[in-house]
Amino acid sequence: MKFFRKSAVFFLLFVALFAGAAIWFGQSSLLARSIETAMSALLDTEVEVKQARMDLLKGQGNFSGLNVVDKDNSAQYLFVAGAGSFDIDFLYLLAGKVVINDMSLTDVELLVPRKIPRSAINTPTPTVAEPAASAESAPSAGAQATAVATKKPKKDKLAELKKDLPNIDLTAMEQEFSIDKLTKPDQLPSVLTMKKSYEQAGESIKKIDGDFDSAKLDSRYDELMKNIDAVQSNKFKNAKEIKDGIKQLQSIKKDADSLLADTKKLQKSINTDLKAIKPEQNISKLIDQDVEDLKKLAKLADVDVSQIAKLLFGASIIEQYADFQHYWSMVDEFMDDGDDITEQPRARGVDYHFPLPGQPPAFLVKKISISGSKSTQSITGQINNLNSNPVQYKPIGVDLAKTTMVNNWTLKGVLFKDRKVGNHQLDFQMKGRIFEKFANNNASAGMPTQIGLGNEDTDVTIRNVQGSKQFDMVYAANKLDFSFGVLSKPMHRNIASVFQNINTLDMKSRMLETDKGIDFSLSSSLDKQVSSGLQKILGKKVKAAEKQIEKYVKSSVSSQLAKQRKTLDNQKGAVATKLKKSLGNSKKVDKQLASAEKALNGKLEKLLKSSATDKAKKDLGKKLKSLKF
Amino acid sequence: MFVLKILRDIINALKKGESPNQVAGGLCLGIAMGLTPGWPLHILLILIVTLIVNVNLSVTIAGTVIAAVIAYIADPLLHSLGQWVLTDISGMKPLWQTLYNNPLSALTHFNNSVVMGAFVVTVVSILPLFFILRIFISKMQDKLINRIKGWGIFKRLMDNKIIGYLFRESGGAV
Repeated sequence: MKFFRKSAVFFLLFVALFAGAAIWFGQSSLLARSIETAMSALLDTEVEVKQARMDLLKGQGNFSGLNVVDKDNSAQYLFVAGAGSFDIDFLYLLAGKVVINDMSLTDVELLVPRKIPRSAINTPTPTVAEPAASAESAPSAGAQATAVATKKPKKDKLAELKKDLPNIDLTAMEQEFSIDKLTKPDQLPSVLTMKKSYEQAGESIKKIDGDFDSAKLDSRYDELMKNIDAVQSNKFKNAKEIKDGIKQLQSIKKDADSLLADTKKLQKSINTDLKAIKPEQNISKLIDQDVEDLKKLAKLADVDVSQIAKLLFGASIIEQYADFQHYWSMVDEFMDDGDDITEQPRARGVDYHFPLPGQPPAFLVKKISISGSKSTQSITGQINNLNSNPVQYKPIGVDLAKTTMVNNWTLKGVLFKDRKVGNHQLDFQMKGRIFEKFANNNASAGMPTQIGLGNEDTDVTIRNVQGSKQFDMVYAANKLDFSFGVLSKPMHRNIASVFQNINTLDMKSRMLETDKGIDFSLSSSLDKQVSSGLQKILGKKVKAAEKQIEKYVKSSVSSQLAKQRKTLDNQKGAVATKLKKSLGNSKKVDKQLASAEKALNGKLEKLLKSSATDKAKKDLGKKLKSLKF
Repeated sequence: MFVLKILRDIINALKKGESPNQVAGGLCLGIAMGLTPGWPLHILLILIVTLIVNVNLSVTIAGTVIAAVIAYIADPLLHSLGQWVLTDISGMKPLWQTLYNNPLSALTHFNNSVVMGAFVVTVVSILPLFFILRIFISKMQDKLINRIKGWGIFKRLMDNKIIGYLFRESGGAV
């Protein structure tokens, strides 16, 4: 037995030494692979880490080449951090708590094209793995086992993620922007400008019409016709009178030619003026501008904390969060009853929990700094106290000027997504401020102590239980949607005027359990880089919404355009008809003149012939008389 | 063969090979390990102590197995006891809170009702059990084995190879 004892001691020592040596000498690749495995499971996508190293005594580590593959498009990285460092609390790690004091991610880039090695080109991508296989091949130890047990097939998760994507529908936008262009298409700048251009064109045509009328072409043609008729109706007695008549006709002809020249001049002038009228010259540009503006509004409504969190950390962290929330909500409920413990049945025995304020929760990252700057994109940001605590907030002061908030503030999914739990007690300071404003604006009407917020998907109740600045929020839904659409219109107009054109997010709160406030503070050129990144992720939904916007603007413009075109065409047609009539009159005059002249010339010829015959007869008579037979 | 060797060592220890203190100590440590589910920190410490101090390891293993079987049946009782200690003694709450939020003590899984129940049973019963077992083993080594040796059935069983291996000393004497 002594041999067995010695063997056991030596075996334990050997294992300890081997593990120590393996960790000490091979930790770079071990740690890198561990991070890859853990993060891949956490983010539900392929994660690459080039190198990682950790000082176990100090609890500090660093890594390089952290690449998170885009789950929806394996040809690109969703998130790339060139280098990073972290400071982990080793003691808490032993106790099963992940407490990272500081984490820094530098050279951060979003949506970077992926260089896939040749050898990997023919291998199936992880995103198309069979659901059952993925569940079986997942790690089975510890907490991961639970995660695996509840892990859903990837396709389902993707569908769930897509289901959770924000709604960018025009109905919601109509609610949000009741006074804007969407509800009144005739207020669209393109429609307004187009209308104005057509009005100006109409005025120009009226002026042309006026000029035409002032030229009195028709009356002048009528006069000429009368003169011709007068000449024609004369009873010429001799050749002289006929010659005078012909002279009159020639004079009329001159007048007619002059009138025709005037008509043609006026026609030329009208044609030039009509050509100059281009009411739709800039309409396509204006339409494009309107479409872009509305798209921008749609995007702004869409950029929320959940999307940024999803972008940075993937959807699964949110699910993890939901699990933590579920757990802690049970603690909350228990604490509400004046006790400090809760039960969570296990295979053997029950675990009792004794949380204390000030103690870290199971998962806590005190500070994450993100920075990255490339020629095409830049991102800087900080997330403080990312943790697994219950969703308990106490309002703190918020500077509205600095507070970033989109008109459609949606918190679904990030901190509040929990399908299992019925009720959470929440205080949310931003709402407090907003409702304070609401209270001030509606003081005379009396502010309700309970406001129901919600739409088809949500069932949110806000209770004004702590005065004008603090509110408790109780929700019983799988997401929260603080849409202002359900509030009175004057209210959300005010809000819309306060929160507009904002592209950064800042959310502060204090956790009840730990005195740690979760503090998201991400700023970047969101409307360009991140928004376009999100747009890619949101995929078809955004595209469909954008198409809808485009269709909406174009149909709004074209319906207005058709009316204006018809009016203008009618005006143009009237002027053209008048011109045509004048030119017709001119031809009539010419014809009449030609006919009259021909008639007079015939008469004259006839007269001249008869007078010549008479003279010849006379001459012949004289000659006959002078002949003496 | 390893199991047989352990059994033979146990029988030898009970006969006269080990002192009653070594046998009783090994059995108590084994019972402590067997009662507690899993491998919390304090059980690892007991294991290290078992390897360091001079107790009979075969008896310890036997104690662990026996205690694990008993604990399997007694889990509801251990759970009730642990639950009572953890939740009903209000004066202990500050201690539990301190331990719960201490990284190292959290490794003991003290907040599990069965672990706590087993721990309480171990702490309360380990010393009386040690003394009772020491007296029992001491008497067993002196009288009981000799009395059994005198039984006719035992003499006939000794003809069996395995029984003979377990009970015969290396010199061949029973």
